[in-house]
Amino acid sequence: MNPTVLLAVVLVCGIELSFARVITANLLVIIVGVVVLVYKHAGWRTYLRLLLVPLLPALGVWFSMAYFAVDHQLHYAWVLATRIYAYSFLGAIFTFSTTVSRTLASLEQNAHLPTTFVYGMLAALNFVPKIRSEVTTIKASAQMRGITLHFWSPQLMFKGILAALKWSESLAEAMTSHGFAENQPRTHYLVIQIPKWNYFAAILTLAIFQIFIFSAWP
Amino acid sequence: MNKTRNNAWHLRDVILLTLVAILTGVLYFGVVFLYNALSVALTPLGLAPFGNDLILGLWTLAAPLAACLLQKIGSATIGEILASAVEAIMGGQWGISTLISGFIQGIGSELGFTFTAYKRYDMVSLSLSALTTTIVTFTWDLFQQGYAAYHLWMIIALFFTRLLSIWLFGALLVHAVVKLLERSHMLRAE
Repeated sequence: MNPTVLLAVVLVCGIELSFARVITANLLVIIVGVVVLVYKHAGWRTYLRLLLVPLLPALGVWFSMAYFAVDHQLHYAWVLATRIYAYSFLGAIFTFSTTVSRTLASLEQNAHLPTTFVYGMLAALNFVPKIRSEVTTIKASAQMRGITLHFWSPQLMFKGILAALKWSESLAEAMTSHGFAENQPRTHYLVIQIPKWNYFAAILTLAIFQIFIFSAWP
Repeated sequence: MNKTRNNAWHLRDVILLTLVAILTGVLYFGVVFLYNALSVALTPLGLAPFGNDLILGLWTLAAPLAACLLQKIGSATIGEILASAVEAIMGGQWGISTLISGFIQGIGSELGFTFTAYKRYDMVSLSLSALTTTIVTFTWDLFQQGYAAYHLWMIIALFFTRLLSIWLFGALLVHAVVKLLERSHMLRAE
């Protein structure tokens, strides 16, 4: 499915879930998520992660609701706990159906997001390992002078931003010198289109979802 | 700051904000463990939402920082959306739903600077931004996290916990960082 269409569907479902008080709608999302994961041959670690990571917040909200909600609404406690799982699976449906670069390419070509944003993000995302090592370096060099930088120290963030300022300047210059022009029309090697069936699938999915959201089911 | 500020977004700005978003992600990755430890301690007491609100300031910090770095209209919103996109890509806990909360937090923070007409980037507007962020995100969480169902005393306590956290990180810490940057003369004087 086209990433832009999928993103729109997932976002609409996510926003609706935030307001709905329907356990079955949450369960539907979770079941669809599992089906997608099985279809994509996800490894057992993925299932484990999706099971364990939301466990703590889900338990946390369940206990708070059970103890401190007006009238001790157990139904609402279950809604919120399953909602947290539904959110995680909603995220998994998206991440397992597409890749970051394909999504950004589709957002550029189909959703007409400005190229400055698309390629700026793509370029900066390659810097994740470099930023990790920079943070380690900053911390280590402070340690050598007998200073420990904690995560709340302004110095740590300041030095990191200095590096970011330097890199962003160089990277932008490098891209411009390689022929990147801001928000000019581009040609594409990989042309991403939205097949007609995507629209039908999106409308059908959202329609079925509405039945769950607005039904009188628990 | 002259009045004919350049409001266009350049490649350099987008890269800078994304890099800063990655930086905050790397810096505060460890806080997730702190959060989990706090949640474990608070869950049996039914007070887990306090753990969430106590560190929320760290997740909303990108917006005021972006506003101060670029001083453009919309930089807080776009900065926070970029930060949440980075968080989603780098494998945050919530995946795609961080985009929604990033948008809400960005709008909340943006309002603080709108109310000061994008003219001040000092403690006053940062504190105002912390207040608007708290109000907007709290209103959202009345539904999304179900805060509306709690007793009134708990709602009020949660609100002030969140305000304190967002003010500490989004105003006090950001102000300290921006002051250092100004002293280093590394920020572009437009």
